Amino acid sequence: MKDWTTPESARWLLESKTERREVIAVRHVWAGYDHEQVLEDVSLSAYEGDFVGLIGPNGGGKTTLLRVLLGLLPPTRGEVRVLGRPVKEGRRAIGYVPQVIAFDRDFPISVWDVVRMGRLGHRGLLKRYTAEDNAVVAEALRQAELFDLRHRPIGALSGGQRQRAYIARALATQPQILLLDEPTSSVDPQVSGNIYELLRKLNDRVTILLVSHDMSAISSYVKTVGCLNRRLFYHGGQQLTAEMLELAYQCPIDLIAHGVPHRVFATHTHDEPQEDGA
Amino acid sequence: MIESILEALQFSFMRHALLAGVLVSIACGIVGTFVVVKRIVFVSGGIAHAAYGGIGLGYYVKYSLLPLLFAGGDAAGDPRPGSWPLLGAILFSLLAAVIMGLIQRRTRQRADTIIGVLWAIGMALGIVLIDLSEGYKVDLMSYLFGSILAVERSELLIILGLDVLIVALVALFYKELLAISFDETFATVENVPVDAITIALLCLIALTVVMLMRVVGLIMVIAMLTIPAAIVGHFVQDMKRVMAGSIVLGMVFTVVGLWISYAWNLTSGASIILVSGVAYLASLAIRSLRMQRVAKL
Repeated sequence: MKDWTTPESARWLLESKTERREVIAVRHVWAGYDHEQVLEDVSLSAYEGDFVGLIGPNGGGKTTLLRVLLGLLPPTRGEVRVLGRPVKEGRRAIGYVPQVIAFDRDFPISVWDVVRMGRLGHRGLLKRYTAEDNAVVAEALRQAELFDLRHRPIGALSGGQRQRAYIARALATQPQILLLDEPTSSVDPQVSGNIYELLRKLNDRVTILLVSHDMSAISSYVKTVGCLNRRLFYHGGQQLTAEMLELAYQCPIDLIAHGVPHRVFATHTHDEPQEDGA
Repeated sequence: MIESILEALQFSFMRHALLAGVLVSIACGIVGTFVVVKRIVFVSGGIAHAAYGGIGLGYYVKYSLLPLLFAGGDAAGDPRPGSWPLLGAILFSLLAAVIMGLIQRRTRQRADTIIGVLWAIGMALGIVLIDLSEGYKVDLMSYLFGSILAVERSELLIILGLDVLIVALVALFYKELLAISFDETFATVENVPVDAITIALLCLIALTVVMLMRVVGLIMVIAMLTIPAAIVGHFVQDMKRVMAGSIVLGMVFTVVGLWISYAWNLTSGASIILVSGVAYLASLAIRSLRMQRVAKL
């Protein structure tokens, strides 16, 4: 594990920030559904090599932000660019890992065929998958340690394996950026650790942005954290501050840092704001 | 029994019926698999019933509009409706497919309500148009309950043509069809033209529905479309195999159903559906037995 607290790495972080390319640029974005704003004046810059974790309560706009970045939801105001291009072009460089919730276990499809969908963007209409596609798919499966299970029906996988299958599918797109929505919501803590280890390995090559409500997991693996609850509190820093959390969650928070960087435990005195109440 | 089968096959209508059943099963197995895995059974039902409006339109054009335009012409003298109702059904079902596709894509909520309304409007329009058309409406029931025994050679050719079209389109766009069925959002992000592919799939359903209408009738189209794929889906977990299995099962159901209807002088469409339905219940029983056994181990 790289130690981000040494002066060296701090300097590296600072220097590289000025040199590295900005891959995700969100400028003053407002977005929402049916006249209800979910994102308010959100701005975010992510640079090549970043590993950004955004936490926030349910209904705080985490998934909405990802939908905006993927061009699935046009913002009502503001501008989003991916690799300097409009999202519908820039998203070609994004590997998207959706939340594994609404999932049809009976869908008759193998792990291999699911992961191969990552090649769709590279093979247009009326074109067949090539041997090169198959090689990329095999490599993605190996990275996700799923190659031996490639013939299994996707419904026969465990929660953690299914999550890795979706990560493999995203890798098969040969992305420069990985976007993950609640990557550990359906797995137990130990498996969750495995998935974050995998992501950290992948971060050598790709920029990662993930959203989660699971604060402890996020803050021990990502390089930079932010809080999202309609507004985004992100300064490219490594640690969550009490101020950020309070602003985001709008309730007092007991913050205990155990002398370990990135580790933040927060206790809520109130329930998290609900979907419609927030 | 073999004698009676051979005897039945001496009738050309029986041979036509068997051929029609076998040909329709091909389109039905392929398209039905998408209907089942994508869970668009209700939309398919809507398309089928909206098609009835087209049958009404066909009658109206044939018996009221054409005689009006060409007074005393040949068309007026022919008591049979010819292919007008079929053409009307193709037109209306394709139209319904496009409209329902757009509605499903554009509106967030209440898509099922709107589809239900279109379903009823199509049906009602068909009935009113038939009321308005002149003459004796002899074989209206055949569209509701099927008339596989009355399939003519020309219709067999239409069915064959539609089969070829459906197989070719599914083969050409298989990877996109699979992608939008499994994960529409991911397909969108990968820049698959999701809207166009979805509407194309609904149009394939529309064409299949029109063919099935001849075999089992409008009311039972949904059963024929979904039962084979649902049964095979219990035992096979690969899309292409589900399709192949559904085609075979569809053929078995139509052949067995036809034979039962011939042997006991029963309505052919209903016999075919009953055979399929019993097979479906049996497959449910087999599956739950297998699951119990797995649970015990």
